[in-house]
Amino acid sequence: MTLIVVSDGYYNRITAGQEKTIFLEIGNNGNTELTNIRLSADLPEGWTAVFSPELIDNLAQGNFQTVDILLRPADNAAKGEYTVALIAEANETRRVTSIYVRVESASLFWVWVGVGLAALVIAGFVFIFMRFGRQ
Amino acid sequence: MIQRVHEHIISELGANTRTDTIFVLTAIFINLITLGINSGIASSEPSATNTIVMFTIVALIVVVNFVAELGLIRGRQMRKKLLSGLLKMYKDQGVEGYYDPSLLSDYRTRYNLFMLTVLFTGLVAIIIPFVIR
Repeated sequence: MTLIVVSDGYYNRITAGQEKTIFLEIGNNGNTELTNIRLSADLPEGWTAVFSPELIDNLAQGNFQTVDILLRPADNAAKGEYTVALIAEANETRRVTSIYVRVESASLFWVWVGVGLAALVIAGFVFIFMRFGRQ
Repeated sequence: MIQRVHEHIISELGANTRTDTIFVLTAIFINLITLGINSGIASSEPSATNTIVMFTIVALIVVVNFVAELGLIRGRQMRKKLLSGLLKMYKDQGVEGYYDPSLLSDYRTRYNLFMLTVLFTGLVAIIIPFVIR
């Protein structure tokens, strides 16, 4: 059985708390039919992955089946890179592949902190320029 | 005696230039170094320790920049006083025609540009790590 991730490939960018669809292609390159292929993911805490379809009843040799994965990182997921393991388990065999997901922060909080500090520095600069520059 | 005073003023002007150069270069150097350090911290795993270190470095940037700005303001005022004395001396000696008084305003512009350079590298060093975070 082959397990192929298509669409954005093995590296995906997601904003914390927002969903992203990843396309997965399940193929059978063996010489027997695969039955009862169950799809699941090993995810970081608070993440969800919804597979559509979640179960493939059978996959004849040489055939492929596309699966959509709706991946959603936790709302409070810290910015950074994560590995998500995708598991396809048939009665006859089991296959695991990994994708990398880069979570980007949805919040502009830290940008505003930086802008606020910069504004204070500018205000301070103007003050010392006015206060000491005249003497 | 007037020659000794002249030499003294020239020597003070030289020391003033060296001090101001040190202020500008040190401030820009520290701003760029801290920009690199804080950007590195901001890209790493967020934690309370990292946040404290980031804010400590921001405090360092603020202090260094204010010290540099104050030093440059004082340096500019000192240069103005020294050059005014020098100009008066030249006038008394009847050689003021060799020294253009507009140099005073040129120095003022140059100092303002130095201060803006220090200020903007400081602002970049503060803002960029928070944008990365």
